Amino acid sequence: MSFEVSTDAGVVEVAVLDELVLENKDRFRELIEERLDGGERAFLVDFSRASYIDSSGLGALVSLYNRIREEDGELWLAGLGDDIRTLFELTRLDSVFHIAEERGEAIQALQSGGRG
Amino acid sequence: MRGEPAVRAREAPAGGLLVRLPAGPGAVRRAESAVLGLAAGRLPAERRPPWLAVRTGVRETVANAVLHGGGRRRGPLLEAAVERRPRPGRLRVTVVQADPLEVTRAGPGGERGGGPDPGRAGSGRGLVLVRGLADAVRFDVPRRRVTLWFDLPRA
Repeated sequence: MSFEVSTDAGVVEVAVLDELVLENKDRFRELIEERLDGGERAFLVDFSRASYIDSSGLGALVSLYNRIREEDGELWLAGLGDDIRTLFELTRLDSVFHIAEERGEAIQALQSGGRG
Repeated sequence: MRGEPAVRAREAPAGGLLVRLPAGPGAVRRAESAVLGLAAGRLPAERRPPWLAVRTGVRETVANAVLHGGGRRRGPLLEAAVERRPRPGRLRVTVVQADPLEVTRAGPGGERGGGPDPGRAGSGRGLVLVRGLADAVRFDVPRRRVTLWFDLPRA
């Protein structure tokens, strides 16, 4: 089990349980795209229980971010540990995504319009 | 691996390993396991290079070789060794995409696997990560070979 998905008060939350990598990125995309196609527009990806992401995982996030924005939705990330944050910083993706320290902060932003 | 020894000790560098990886995405996990296992077996915990750097370097380099080697029957070749000189030493990892003679034929129109598959070409983020985390990188394009070095912490 790589991911946990829940929906609460209009926010779809996907928790990455270990890592987001080449081997599971397609499942990750499916999980979010199914809900986007179903009309959901506010998404949070929680990395607080994740230890690693590779370039394929980063690519999946970028692709989803673009798709969600095209549909007037919002995507926030939260709970990045030191290693994952380093990988975002090296690729400069930390300046692309909305990133919250804690998931509660991201949920609050999404429920109030998502622009942070 | 039936018919393809996972480790050909005869050709492996002294104290190192030489592994023929699977031709598909499974190559990534196999390579990570082999290199991290080598480091754990040869080096005390305080002398191992950072896990994040080694895992990312191996993963991205092998994934690139697999994604750009579509059509090859044999997977990349992985070679790794702990270099004791110059002190305090380095972990060296080399990934060879595949032997060009082992490219399979796609029929009329040319051969497959001779270059990047445009439909699966990456964004370049993997290369950014490798350059950012490895202590040294060398690309040998004609031989389809990438070598990474990771400095060992001083004892």
